[in-house]
Amino acid sequence: MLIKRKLVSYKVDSLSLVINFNISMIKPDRVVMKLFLCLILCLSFKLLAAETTVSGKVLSTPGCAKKTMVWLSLDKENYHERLLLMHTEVPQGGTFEFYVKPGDYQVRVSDEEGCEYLKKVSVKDGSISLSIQMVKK
Amino acid sequence: MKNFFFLYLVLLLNQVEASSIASCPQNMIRVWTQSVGYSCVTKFNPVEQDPFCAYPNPLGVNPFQYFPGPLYQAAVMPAWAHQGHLLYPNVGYPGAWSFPGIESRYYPGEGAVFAAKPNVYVESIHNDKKFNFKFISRNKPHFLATTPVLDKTLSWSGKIREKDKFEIEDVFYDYLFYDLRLPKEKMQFSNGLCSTREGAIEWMLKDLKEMKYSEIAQQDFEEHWRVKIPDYPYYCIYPQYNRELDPIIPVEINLDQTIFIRSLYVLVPHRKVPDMDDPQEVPLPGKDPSEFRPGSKIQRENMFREWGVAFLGY
Repeated sequence: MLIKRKLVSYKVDSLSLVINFNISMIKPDRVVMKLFLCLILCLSFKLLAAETTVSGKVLSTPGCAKKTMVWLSLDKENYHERLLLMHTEVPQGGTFEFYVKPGDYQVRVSDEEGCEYLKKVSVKDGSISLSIQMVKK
Repeated sequence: MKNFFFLYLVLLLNQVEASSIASCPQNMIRVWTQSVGYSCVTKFNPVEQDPFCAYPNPLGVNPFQYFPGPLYQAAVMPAWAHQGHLLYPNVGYPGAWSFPGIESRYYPGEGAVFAAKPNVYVESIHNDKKFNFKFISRNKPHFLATTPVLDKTLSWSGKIREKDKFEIEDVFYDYLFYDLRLPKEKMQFSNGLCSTREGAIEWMLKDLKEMKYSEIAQQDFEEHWRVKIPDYPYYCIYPQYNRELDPIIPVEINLDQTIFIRSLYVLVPHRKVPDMDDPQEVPLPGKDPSEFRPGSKIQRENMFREWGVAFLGY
């Protein structure tokens, strides 16, 4: 950054320190401006790209029903706080994807034959991919 | 004489049964459990006690403390709903809920309309035909869920099999599914109707029938939404058809001789009879929506149809 002249004056009185910084004297060159714009673009891209997902594939399990229900809820032990956010029906062998905010969640899979799966996931950034093998109880 | 005695016994038993039911105070119902036997519990009534999740909760009050447990749910419901009620307190709602709509803060993305479960069905004359279903909007849609997973080009590719199923990566799906957020300002809120909850469900089913949705599509709709539409007494329905949806969430189906019929019902709940004289956040619908319904007379080799129900987010 090219600063031709910088005026900084300090004025001290009994109560405060006043800093006068004469920014009108700052003249950044083109290279610095381009770098600055690139930085802004990169940060924007990073923000836009920060989509967080929980996806998975329900593996085929003999003895389980052909169709399963995949539930996504808040990760809470207390029934009354375990808020269900989304759920989707997925056939055995099928895939699903939930788009979520960063946070702690429970992914649960169940079916009519009593097969179950439960996984607690902590989503920070990026995606979590699950390979779901149900267990018959 | 024997018959009279039997009749008297039946009447007597009924009276005992009736009196024991009547012994529960108002707003309570009698239930039976193996451990306790008969007892009176608070009647399930989500309208009076809307669930809301205030977590993290600065007051330390559990917002669901009076929300009913799984024991008190209606008996007639699909198996997944029974399972769901045992696990979650808000299965009878389309998601995280706070009257009159979805609690947006739990979901990513933008858009005040939460389109829950648009399901895409197909009816074809083909038993084995390749297809590609692609979302082609300039900006990526604000998806919340998809089944199956979309590929990098935001499309599902596979085959139409057995005339009404999708085969994607060797797995058969009865329908393709996605949840997403949509911009409220691009939707119409002038055409529609208001009704009781039951009347609203019946009207939507009738509307699907008018557009010749398959029996399976209608059954899925009824099974899902009889559970997931919250139990408020009145609803206003604002149908969004191809006219509204195609510009907002455009789709390209790479298959000859194809028509895609779309309907998404935006529902706004009301706790009392909607009245034109009352101030309304969403204007009450004033025009008949049926004239904007996509035509069902033209048939093609491949008929894609999509239904969905949406709620406003707050």
